Amino acid sequence: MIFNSLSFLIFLPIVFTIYWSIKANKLLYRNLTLLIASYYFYACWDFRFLILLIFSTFLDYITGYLISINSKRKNKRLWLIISITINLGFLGFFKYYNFFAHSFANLLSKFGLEANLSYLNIILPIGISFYTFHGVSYVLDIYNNKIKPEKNFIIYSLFVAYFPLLVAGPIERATHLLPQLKTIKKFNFNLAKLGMKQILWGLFKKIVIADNCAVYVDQIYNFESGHNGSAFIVASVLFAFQIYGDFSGYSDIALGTSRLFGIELIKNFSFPYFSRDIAEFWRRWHISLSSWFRDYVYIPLGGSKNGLIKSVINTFIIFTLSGFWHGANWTFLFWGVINAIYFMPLLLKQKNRKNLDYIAENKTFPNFKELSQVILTFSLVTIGWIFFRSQNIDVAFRILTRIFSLEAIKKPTIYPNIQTFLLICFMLILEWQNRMLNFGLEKTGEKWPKLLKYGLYYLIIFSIFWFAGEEKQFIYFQF
Amino acid sequence: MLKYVFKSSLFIIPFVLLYLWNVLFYDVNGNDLIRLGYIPDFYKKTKNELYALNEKKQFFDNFYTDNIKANYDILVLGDSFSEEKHSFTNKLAKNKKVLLIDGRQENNPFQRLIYLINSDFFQKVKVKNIILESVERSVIDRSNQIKFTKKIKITNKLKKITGNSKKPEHTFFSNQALLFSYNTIKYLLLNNSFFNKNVYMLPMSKKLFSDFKKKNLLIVHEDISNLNLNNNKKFANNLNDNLNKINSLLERKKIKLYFMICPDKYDMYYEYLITKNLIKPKLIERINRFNKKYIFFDTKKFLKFELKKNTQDLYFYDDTHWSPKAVMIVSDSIIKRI
Repeated sequence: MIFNSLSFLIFLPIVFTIYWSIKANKLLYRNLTLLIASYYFYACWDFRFLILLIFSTFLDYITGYLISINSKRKNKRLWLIISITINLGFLGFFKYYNFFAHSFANLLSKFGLEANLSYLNIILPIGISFYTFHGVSYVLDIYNNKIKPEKNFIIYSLFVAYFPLLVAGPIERATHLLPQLKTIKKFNFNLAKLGMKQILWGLFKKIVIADNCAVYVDQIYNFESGHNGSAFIVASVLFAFQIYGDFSGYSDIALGTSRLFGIELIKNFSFPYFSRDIAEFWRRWHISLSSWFRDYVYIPLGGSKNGLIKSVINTFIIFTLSGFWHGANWTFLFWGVINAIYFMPLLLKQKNRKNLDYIAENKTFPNFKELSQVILTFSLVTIGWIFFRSQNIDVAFRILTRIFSLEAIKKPTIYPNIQTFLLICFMLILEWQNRMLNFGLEKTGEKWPKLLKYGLYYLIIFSIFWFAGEEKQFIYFQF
Repeated sequence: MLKYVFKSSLFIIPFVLLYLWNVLFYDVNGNDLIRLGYIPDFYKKTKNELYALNEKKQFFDNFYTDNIKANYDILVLGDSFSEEKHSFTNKLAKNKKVLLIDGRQENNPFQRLIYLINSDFFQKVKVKNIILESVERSVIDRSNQIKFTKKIKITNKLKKITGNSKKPEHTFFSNQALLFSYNTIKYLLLNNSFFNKNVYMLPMSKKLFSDFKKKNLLIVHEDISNLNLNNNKKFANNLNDNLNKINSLLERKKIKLYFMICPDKYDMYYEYLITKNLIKPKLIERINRFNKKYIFFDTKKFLKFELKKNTQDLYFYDDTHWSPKAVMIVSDSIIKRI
């Protein structure tokens, strides 16, 4: 059941109605409603993996409790290691077994040896990368005394399986979500209205922008030898918008949906393509993942506290792991490393925390310097996306060779639809207007007359239907 | 909360209603012009009567799915007009041994035949006659793409073809509902219209389809857009040359070549269209005048004779293909000549 499907459009109002029909003080029943709805939502994908989800929930609930009741640090660590090992073990098996088996066999063959490894037909359980990280962050927070273990199993299960974030994030923290699940909520009209607007904006980005960019991108990338450098430049730029529209669109729908139930989730995107340097980009792109790696990998490794060299090594580690988290392919690893390389000059010059404010804050337009920085950062990011999109490293390098050759100044082998560019411009204008807020449509039209405001919403809904491209699954579902 | 539900409904309900309207009246599995044009189907009763005329059983052998015999009277290579149980191929197969090689490996029937000629196929399977069929709007394009020296093995040992076999369905977030609503209004109120850049509706002087509505003709856009190609004298000559060359190659193998064009609806019903300044199709008349070494089945002539008798529904009103009535007429004419 994907967010942009009819079944979800039927599912959501039913859950919404049941949830708010239950009295505010009957928190258990409300949470139970959301939990059952979440398990149903997950089972629609593949009911077999519901068992894995529930097992993972039990594992972290119990190990979290055992960590907290043990007074000896040694025993705490033991339960922590058990939890992390099993969690990451499942993730490793389902996601990376075949990759490592293939890679190992290839390596041996380079030395003239043959490996008789069996490759398994493994289906990747949807959302495993996300809910595994939920669980791991929970036990780590208990171990580090940031939170007490959750006694109520229903509430904890809901924290893991909460349907808006179950299959593609954001990766929530127990410190942020658990308290909200234990708070009595009254229906908040303004919050629900904001949620609906955010869902609308998310649908626009996913259906209109991402799915339409995908048509051209797939044509070029799926037939690599048939297209020239300039076509790949266009396709790569469109892929940058495809992945942004897809992933941030999904996040907007997730956050907006959660707001309908009075629950605020972590912001996952903050207009990353308006970033002035790569460090700012990574503070604005997939925020929940990068902050997870910062808090649970980078800082425990010492962060930037043990000298520049250690800082560089730790930075490489988290970017590489982040790349690897995205998928079992060398291209994702390479993409992570490229971003680490981009980051290095800023780290070495200690300028990685330079642009903490908003671009053109309190101004309408950026100045020339800011605009140049934005274009440069976008270009570097887009080059990285080439590895993300390509089937393998060889293909990615071939594409790059074409892009940085005379082919780049020739006419593209095929042109994309002009309407795709116009729609991207429309999205960028709205996002620029709301760049200091949470999402692209947040305040647009707020001060307009009602008729005009409603006209804008109808126009956006109409455009979602009219420009709906071929229905495509969200890219991040594969992670 | 009620205020919220009410206000949200103002935005959601109109589109939900449009979607339901779409689900109820737009047939995603309907005939091709209905699907391409996003127009309603008002032709069900007649279609059911026509479908009842179809053969229930398949009499020909499909190269890819059936056991192949050592020899056949007729090998058919064509497009959608020659495939399936409702085709002339099946009618012929009631009296003759017929083998069909469909387009799953090579969409262009001309090129498909070239691959067979360039391989040892005719040594393994003895064939007396070949019917090469193409729909009129594609024939020149297909002829222009022929590569006589190309070799690909046409094999029935392929793994299962995994094309886009996803069943069409009503998608909520799509322009289907919007287009269907808009096109239905145009369809009901106008005589002359262009639906969804694919389907034309043109008024006629005679009622030659037993649909509920006025005298009009639905055609696919390519019937007109390919006329420049089809009416080009040089390309028509080229087509004839190609067919003569193929015929010579087959003569060496002692196989007779029959060539057949399935006329476009636009060409078939051209003389009844009342819109002014429509380009007249010339291809089939040109072919008739050429010096031909192959045998040409002028199916347009066979069907024109019926049209003059005011026979209705020779083609499906809402499809580019001819109906079982036309299939019977065409196959009877072919059988007399083979």
